[in-house]
Amino acid sequence: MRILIVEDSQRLRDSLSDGLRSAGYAVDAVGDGRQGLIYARATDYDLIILDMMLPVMDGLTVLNEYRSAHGQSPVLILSARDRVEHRVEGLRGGADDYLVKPFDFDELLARVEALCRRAKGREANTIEIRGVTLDLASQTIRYEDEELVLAPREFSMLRYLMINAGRTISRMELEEHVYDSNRQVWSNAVDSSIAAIRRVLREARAPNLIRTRRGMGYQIDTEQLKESAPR
Amino acid sequence: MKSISRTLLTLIAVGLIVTVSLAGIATYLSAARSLRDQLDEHLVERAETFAELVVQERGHVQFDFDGDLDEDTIGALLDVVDVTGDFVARSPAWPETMGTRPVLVGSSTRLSSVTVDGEPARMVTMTHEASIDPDEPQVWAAPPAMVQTRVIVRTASVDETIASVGQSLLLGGVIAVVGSLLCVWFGVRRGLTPLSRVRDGLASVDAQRIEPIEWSPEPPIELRPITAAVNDVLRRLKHAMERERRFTDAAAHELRTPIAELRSLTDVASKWPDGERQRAAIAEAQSIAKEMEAIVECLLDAARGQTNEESVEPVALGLVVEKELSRASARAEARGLSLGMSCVNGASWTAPLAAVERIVRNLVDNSIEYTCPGGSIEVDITEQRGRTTMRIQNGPVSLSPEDAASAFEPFWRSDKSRESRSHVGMGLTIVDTLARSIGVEREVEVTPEQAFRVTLMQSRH
Repeated sequence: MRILIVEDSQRLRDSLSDGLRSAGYAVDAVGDGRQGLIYARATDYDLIILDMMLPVMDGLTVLNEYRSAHGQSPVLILSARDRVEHRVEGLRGGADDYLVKPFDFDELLARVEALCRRAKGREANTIEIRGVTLDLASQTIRYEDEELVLAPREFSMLRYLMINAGRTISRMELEEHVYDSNRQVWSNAVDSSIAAIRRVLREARAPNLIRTRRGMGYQIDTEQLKESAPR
Repeated sequence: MKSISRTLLTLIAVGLIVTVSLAGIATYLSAARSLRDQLDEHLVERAETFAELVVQERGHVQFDFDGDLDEDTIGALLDVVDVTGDFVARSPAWPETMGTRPVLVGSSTRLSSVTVDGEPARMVTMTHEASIDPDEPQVWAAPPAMVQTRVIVRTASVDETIASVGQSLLLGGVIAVVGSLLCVWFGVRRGLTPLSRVRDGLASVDAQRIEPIEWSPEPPIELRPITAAVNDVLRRLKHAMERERRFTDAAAHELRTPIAELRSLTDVASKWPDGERQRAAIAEAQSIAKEMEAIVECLLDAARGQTNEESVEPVALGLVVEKELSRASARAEARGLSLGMSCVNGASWTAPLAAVERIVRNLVDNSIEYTCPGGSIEVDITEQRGRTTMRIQNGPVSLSPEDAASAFEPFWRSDKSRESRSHVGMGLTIVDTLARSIGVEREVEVTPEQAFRVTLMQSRH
């Protein structure tokens, strides 16, 4: 899942990027509104975290222009302005959620997860495919009560594939949603990560969920796919 | 009395009642007098008619009338007596109480009020000479005899007429007063309706969103100064509230952003503990704490004003400016800014030294921060007509002339996002507060040449 942070405070930008990357998200972060709009238009982000008071172009203008250009990514406004009219203005301007600074990082994470989940049209917090369960709340993957330990990048990749189960995901799409723009993506990086995921699944005696669609990308086998209720 | 309508109604009612009563009384008296005068005139005319009937024939005085002299026939009571007191003619019902002996000296006519059978009446007493027939033979010729003719007319009918007039006037007066009071009551209510609209208008003012009131329909001329004053107050309140709101927004941003940074840093560091990350978080947290301390200090400085009456003294402006420019010279040089000053000898402000130093320091720091590289900062100190003026001009700057109006506002920065953390936008606010506290007038402008100019003036006391 790839997130864009548009925040003028360098420290907040850095700590948010750090925290979200640690939570398994790919993060791009920019410090002014114009750059934020350029990034948002250029990439199909799973979520945009947007400050309101930004240099060059304020957050509301960024939001309006993004929505005017049919940008579909969910937008979470992160602002120090806490009055009701500010929230109303932001939400009516096209934002999907509004969080007032200062905030609890866990709350931010929960909102990020909820927004990403809703954007994919799902209600549940967990996805189970042939005994392999992805818990979006705790950011864990289990097979028959055993937690599968994956590196953050592999976790993000498997999560993206499971969320989009049944659909063939191209390497480019995977790169776009799993790697942030600051990372150099080697040509076989996606294949290496897929191989690592398959190895972990194999070691846990879990079924190999990922099917390679030659020349097209990867797909999670949808047979026996089912979603469980939220925990 | 607290009610305007009640006061107006009471005053107008009392005025009306007094006026109508006085007018009624005057009309009544006038009518009564007029009726009585007419009665008297009529009485005198009748007495004269009767007097002409008193004739002297062959030396004897006679009343030349053949008919009855009773009251029903002649419409009055008549009594004619000669000089000896013998009556010449008399109505049968003539009251005996009137029978006094006359004193007949010269002609006269006298009117008086009398009572006949217990009823009011008017009496005319006429003393005159009896008429002599011109054909009277000389043998009987004698000087005309003096006689007294008295005529009494009962006045009961006239008194009834007068009483009737009085009653009509009273009834008319009451109707006029009541009718007028109703009209006045209605008029006062109508007249005071605009006051109710003013009250409703004021009641509709939302404390959270103050706006001048749209008076519709427009209030009457008498109330327009009041409604205009109300709207003026509301406009000033709105301006003050907007200023307050801007300050709150800015303060919220200035204080919440570092708190958000702090929380985010510490949350991430504790959620994913890592030696390097935690060390970096601690260092950043210390840096944030210092920045927040600076913000709080600025706010407190602005709130306190930092003036101490006891330490007020003449402060040589030239020395203070020189010292501050010297302190800032390295930073100015690093940004390629040129510094310059001119000062007339002995120019001074009467103020606490610390306040003047803080004003100059903030202005110089502000100039260095916001002047584009390669620009200049000039300080001029002049004295004219008892005023000592310090003008600091720096440029070019990336400001528009409209920005000048906001320059003294708390947390205002030309960079709307407040991205720069080296300044919090309180420097000029503190200058404004301090200058105000030491009686220095302030002007700010952005010139067409993109120079930012602050002019501070103190008059000699």
